[in-house]
Amino acid sequence: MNRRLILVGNGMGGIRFLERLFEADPTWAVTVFGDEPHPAYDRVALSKVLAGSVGAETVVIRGHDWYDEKGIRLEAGCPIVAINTEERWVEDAFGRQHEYDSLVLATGSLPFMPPIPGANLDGVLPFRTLDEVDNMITRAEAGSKAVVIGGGLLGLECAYGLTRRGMDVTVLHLTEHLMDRQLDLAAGTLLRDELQRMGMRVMLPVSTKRFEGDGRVERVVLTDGEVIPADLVVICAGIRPNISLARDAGLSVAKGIVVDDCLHTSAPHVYALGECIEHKGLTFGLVEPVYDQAALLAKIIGHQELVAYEPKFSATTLKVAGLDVFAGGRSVPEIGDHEVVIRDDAGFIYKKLVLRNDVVVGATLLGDVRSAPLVGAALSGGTIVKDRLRLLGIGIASESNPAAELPDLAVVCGCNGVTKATIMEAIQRPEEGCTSRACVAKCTRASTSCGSCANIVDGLLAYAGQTASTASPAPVVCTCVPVAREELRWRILGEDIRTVSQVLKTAGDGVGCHRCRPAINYYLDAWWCGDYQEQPASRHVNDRVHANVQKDGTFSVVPRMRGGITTPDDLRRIADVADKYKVGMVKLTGGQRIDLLGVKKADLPLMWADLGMISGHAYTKAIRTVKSCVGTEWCRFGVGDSTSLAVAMEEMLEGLYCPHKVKLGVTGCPRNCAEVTIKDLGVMAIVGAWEIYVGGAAGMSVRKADLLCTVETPTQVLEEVAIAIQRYREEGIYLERMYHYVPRVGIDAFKASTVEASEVVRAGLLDRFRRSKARVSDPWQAVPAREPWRFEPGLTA
Amino acid sequence: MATLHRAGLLSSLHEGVGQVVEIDGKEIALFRTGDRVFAIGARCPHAGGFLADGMVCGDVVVCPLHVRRVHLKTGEVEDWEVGVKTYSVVVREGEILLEL
Repeated sequence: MNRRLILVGNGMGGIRFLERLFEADPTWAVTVFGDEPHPAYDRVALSKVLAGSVGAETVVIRGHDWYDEKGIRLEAGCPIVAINTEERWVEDAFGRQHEYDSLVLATGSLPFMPPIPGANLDGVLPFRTLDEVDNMITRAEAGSKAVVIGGGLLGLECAYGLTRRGMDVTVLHLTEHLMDRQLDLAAGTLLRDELQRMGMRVMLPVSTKRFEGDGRVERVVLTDGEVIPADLVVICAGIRPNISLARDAGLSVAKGIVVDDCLHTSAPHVYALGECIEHKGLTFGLVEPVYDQAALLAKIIGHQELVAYEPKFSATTLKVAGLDVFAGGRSVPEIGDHEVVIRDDAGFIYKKLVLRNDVVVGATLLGDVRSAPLVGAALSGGTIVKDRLRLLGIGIASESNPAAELPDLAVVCGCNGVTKATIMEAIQRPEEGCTSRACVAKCTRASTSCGSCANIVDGLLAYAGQTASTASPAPVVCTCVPVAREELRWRILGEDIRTVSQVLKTAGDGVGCHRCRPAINYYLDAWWCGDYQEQPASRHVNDRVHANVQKDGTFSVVPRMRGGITTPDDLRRIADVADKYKVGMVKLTGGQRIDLLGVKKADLPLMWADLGMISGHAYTKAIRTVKSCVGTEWCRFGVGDSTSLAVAMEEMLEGLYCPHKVKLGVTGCPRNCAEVTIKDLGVMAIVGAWEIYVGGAAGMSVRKADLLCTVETPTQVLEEVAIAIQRYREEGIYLERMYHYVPRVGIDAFKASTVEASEVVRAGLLDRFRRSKARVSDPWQAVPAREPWRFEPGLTA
Repeated sequence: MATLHRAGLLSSLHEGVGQVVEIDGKEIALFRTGDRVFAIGARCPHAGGFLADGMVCGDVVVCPLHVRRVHLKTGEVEDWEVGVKTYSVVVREGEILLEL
């Protein structure tokens, strides 16, 4: 015979528990008793029903057919009135007894009704059930007056809903500021101003003396004597765990039904979950922890697993259209904490972090909640945050997609416990991947409850659309560092990581390999604009000693020769140096410079000093050369001064590391002697203008470059080139040539993110380009001076 | 009989960055990873690359020329029939001594 399970309570926690239980073990014979005469519905969504933004029919979580399909007996509208824990049966309101093997109490909570005289008048009601919402909607005549008692989360959502129904709403709040459980005074005050601007009246601090009326409520009288007319009074003064059934059955109760880490009550075979419980002195009022408990209890009962409940951080969001509030953790600092506050009263923006030892322990976002997912991840992750302003969205281009930066395991939909990874999986399924929010909602249930994550889901859809052309789900950096590049970026910037070994330790296997370590080194360089700590042990020998290793273990030296232009003096010195160090070969390179081959490692610093020239970076993934023709300076066909522009361009770019080598060229006319249409980035003079090309190649593969834009002046050329290169530096995958990167994202998308991007985006790219450039120094001088041991032969005796 | 040869000061051998020493006409690559020092033949048996210039990843050094993976403890070279010689290392009073 199947084991018999009785669930008392058919709310959100109860139904979630059943769903999970049947995933684990569908053999249970289950009976569910619910007080309300409906199948399980989404209580969190009632605010939206009240506001009229969704219909009442949409809040049903599981219809009768689901219960039938699972073989679950649903006794809706049938309260349980007694439990006999010794003989293991419950008694329902009709006097029937039902035996169980396991009993789960999910009796939820009851609205707290303060003992105010007149509370029994018609038109005074709490805000908890679908029927109460129906009742309110029926009474909500346009122009009639409503009073909401309590300016907490629920009270404000109720007030908003009634306002949307055309009522004239007054909120009465007991303390100095609204949402005082979640917000500090400044945020609460700002919120009040905004609500009043939306047409609600907020009175605080006030206390209600009594409700008056003839059978039906007509007015509210305050303790100071003020009288407020009211056709409807809604009491939103908090909730209390519903424990009477458990208490009468002799179970251990305090504020809630006391449970242990396995959600077991004091009676054998009796478990409890949700708003009715008390775990280690804590009770619960948000749906997220309740869902966690439901999933856990399904494991415990379904799999007989020994797992312990640990409350996780959960944040509050206010579901009022156009008024975004996100709050979690401490709203005011305790001794030893410090806070970061950004405030724009006129713009209705307030952002605050409370930190302890650089770990976020509290956060408030008002008005602009775009960084809420990142802040939420930081709050729940307990990670060290150094770049606090960035976490609050300062310094991030307004067009950027915060959803893209979320770590994979970040919970996007708190109500349903859906992570970014789950949503991305649904979107990127090889067959029939989700293409709309509705489809994501159907497949993952994300955004189906409170809906506050809908914009993130949209962001993820957009993000997937952007990356869809790669035809593969966001690849991980390496098997040693199994996180996507976007996540790595977020973690590096969010957790202030500046070395490869730190990255490997926090996001990888601690060791890494010869492929990922140089890649991570590059990402640190690019994303921190050069402000990172290089570790020679994680670099290829070329990058350790700034020369190109040859097959015999010697090195080659290529000094920079901007635009391929040299001087007799430089050539003389090169010749002398070649003699002095007995170089094996002097060779002209394809990029119009001179290569000195066969140099011993120990001779490198000496040779560089004798040359008196700077590194050409021919040995690394960086800006290589800007090849040029003689342009208008000498050529009788030239229409643009290609040499000057090539030199200026090389000066502007040199020293910057990139995902791969970048070969460039500037040519003075469409005869194209500098071959710019097969360069990673090339510039061509035409009559009266310059064309900029990107993504050309003539190496392992051949590709004709795409035209990026046409501009009039060399100054404009330099700006567009800086922006294009910086975009590639930030978004290119390590070892991805520009001629792979551009077709991967598509030339139109590349244009949209560079030449056609908004001024804010362009200014940000230019700023990061300049900051990176400001950190460049010539390695041929700097490295031997700083770490001469890199070049020494043998050890110190 | 094996004897101990002085290779140099431990302090001049940097974590994860190899170094070549010559003892008795033999080229030997030294590596320091964590609290251990390894000594192996200096050149990769595949194409003669200087292993000391390779990147050290855990117990493996990756040859800078063609990314052969050479095991520091055993001298084994992955996907290659010939390995490299390994030498015993003693660190005494800050000095690296090799048993040859």
